[in-house]
Amino acid sequence: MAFGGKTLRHFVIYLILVYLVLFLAVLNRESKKESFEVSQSVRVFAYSSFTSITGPGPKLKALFELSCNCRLEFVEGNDAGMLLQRLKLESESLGADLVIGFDQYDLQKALGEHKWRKLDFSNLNIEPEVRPALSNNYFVPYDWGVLGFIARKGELKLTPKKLDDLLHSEFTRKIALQDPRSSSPGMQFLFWVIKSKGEEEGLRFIQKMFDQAHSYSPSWSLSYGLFQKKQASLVYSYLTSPLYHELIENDPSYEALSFAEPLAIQYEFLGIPEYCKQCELAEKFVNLMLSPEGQKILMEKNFMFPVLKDVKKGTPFQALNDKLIKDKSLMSFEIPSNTDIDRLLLRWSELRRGEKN
Amino acid sequence: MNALDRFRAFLVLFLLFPFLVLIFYFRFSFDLSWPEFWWAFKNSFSQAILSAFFAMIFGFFVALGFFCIKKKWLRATLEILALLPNFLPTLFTLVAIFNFVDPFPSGTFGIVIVHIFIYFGLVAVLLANQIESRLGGLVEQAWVDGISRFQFYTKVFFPLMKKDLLGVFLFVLVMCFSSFSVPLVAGGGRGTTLEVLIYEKMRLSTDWGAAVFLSFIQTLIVFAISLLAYRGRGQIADRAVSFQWLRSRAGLLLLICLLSAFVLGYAQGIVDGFLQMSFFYELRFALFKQFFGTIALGLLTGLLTFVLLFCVVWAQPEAWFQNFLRSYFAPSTALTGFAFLMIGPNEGVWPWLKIPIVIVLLSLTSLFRMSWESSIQALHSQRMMGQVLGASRWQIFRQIEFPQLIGRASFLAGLAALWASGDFAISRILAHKDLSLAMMTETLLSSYRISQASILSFFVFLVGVSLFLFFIGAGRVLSRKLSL
Repeated sequence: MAFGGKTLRHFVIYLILVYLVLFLAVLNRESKKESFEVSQSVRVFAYSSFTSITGPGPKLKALFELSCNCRLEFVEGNDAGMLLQRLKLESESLGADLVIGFDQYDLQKALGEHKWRKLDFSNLNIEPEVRPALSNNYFVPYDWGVLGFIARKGELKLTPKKLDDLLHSEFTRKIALQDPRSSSPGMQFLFWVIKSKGEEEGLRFIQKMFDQAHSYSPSWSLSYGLFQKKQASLVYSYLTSPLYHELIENDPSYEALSFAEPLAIQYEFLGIPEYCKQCELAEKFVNLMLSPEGQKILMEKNFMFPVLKDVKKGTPFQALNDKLIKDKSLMSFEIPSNTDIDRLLLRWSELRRGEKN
Repeated sequence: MNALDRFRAFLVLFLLFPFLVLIFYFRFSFDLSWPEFWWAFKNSFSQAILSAFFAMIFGFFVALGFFCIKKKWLRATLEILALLPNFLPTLFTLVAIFNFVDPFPSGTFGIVIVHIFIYFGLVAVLLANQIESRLGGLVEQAWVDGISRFQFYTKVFFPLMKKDLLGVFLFVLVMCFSSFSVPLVAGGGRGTTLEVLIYEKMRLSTDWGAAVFLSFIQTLIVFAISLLAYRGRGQIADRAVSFQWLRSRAGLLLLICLLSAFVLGYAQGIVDGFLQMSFFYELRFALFKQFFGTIALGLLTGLLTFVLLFCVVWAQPEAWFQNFLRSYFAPSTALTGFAFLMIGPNEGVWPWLKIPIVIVLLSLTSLFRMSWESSIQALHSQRMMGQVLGASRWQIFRQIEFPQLIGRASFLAGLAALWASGDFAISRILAHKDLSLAMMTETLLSSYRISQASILSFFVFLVGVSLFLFFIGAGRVLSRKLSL
């Protein structure tokens, strides 16, 4: 029997039917969910762990839609860097009304490449650590985290208390770090060292750290995964990371380490593009995120500190704050210029290249 | 220009589409640090060549190990397990290797070890499949003729298989050349490759012109390497190899060692994941949706691949076209993804269409090099005979090429479907939300949930393997029906 007969036709029809049925099953669920009548739709652009089912996005969306008579749609990007790229490439056609997820190292680039609406949230009752981050006119911080080293309790013979302790032979090839070129915590570590030691001394330290690092992962999740799988004794992460294990997994075996140097802070910002279509709704959503209820959701789902005062009161986040952060100096807030970032990354790359060449 | 030429030109334009879009939007920028470029190039090239070479050696011995297994179900199970490291998120593979190779040597050697681990199984499965289909009858004939084992390998095996070996080698080379995470984690100072440079230009410097230029150079380099490929012919025997020269117990032992190292590390994560199964109850609706999403993406990718492979057959034979397919290498994953992001809408049904198209664009020439070219060429004499007897192009296609190539096309379409079901890199760029289980796995990994991600990744693998087997099965059924 040759090709072109009934057999092939049946085969093709069968495959098409299988595909269509599966595809319709997926679409059907979505259309059912969205069949209620709404007058407007607001598009929020955010990174994947924010919008995912385990992140704060879905809960905030449900809460917002209860009162806005509108539909909130998340548009997902991989991370803040990729968010910016998509904004650049798709700009107005993307129709973003709100963008969530920049950190302080993205702000200069975001300001240089796009126009943003002015936002004034200076009256918010916020944590003192966050106040300086409100000084710009366009971006508002909605949560923040302090970065440092995380270890498993009782595993280390020597507990590092300052940066130089990391150079001890006990930690040779035992520290999981991130590549600053592709990871935001990686960039935080680079700036932490530079701010603590000065540029030249800091880079010399970074060079020595190449021997101590187990690996430089392209993302935080990969480095943290290596640490969780006991490939490394220390990982550079958020001081709130042990809280996740304790609260969600009932596993108290992780601890955040205290360091003598002022610790690095990561602020997460949001901004409303100038070309927004549902600007008022976007601002309403920002208000929700910055309300005590929204802040609580962000804290519990993102495992970051809330920017509003008193939200973490009576929670394990407050206890962690009191133990590791309160009365300690933290790195002061600044928005580094693109030139500074490019120069430091170039020097980091050169060191890495020269070291192993 | 006749209709066939126009068809060839259309196929070439389709493959070049991402480059055309990128060059149209960004133009080339030559603002590069050349020492940095050479450094990255040297790293990419050395790690890719060494990785491909050793993955071929390991994969070859493991392929011979497969021939020792008489029970079909056991061999099929081991083949599927051998594909596991190639399929899972890099983290799981890295953890298994770090457990096994301690202390782990960072640098080129480290990258090569990880790549061998990732690709040996794929190489073994491909080679075993090709050895069987190409050499089945010749092995017995050579034995009857009384040649030695050495003569068999030098006079029969390598001359007949060199094209296939080179095809698989180039396939692994290209994959290693464009590897991103592995060189960064395992490479020490050698972690800067061309792919990392492209990413850096694109994401940090937002210098898209330079990123496109780098990608273009990368394509040219692979193009040049691929042009070295030999043309060769084989015959389709499609029968089991039953000769001791092509069996290796040492290969089987090697397979078991490598797999045990991997499976033990991975299984531990799965056990931890099972202990937290209640977590998945909360996600049941999302899981259900994304299960179908995975199947939809895999099926569409497989179908598109199947159709395009036969489009390639229809457009044969033409030397320049063949050379192009053999040598062309698509731009980096991220660049191709972004090229499609810029074209047309990205809402509703569009990501469902764009993701399979991008996966097919990225994998088609690799599949061609891997075994499609040699399968087409094996039919050369039959095609010539058909022409001499006055058969039309359509008759040759439907009565000679399609019935004999359908099995191989289904195998390759199944492989494409397997990759599609495990993809999250392209989907993350083109989709506005999690569409598949693989994307969900990646999301879980980025929110501390490594155990849950382990178990979900295994589920993704099972779905991928089901799709792979579905295509192979469909191909066999169709092939049987056509031969009635």
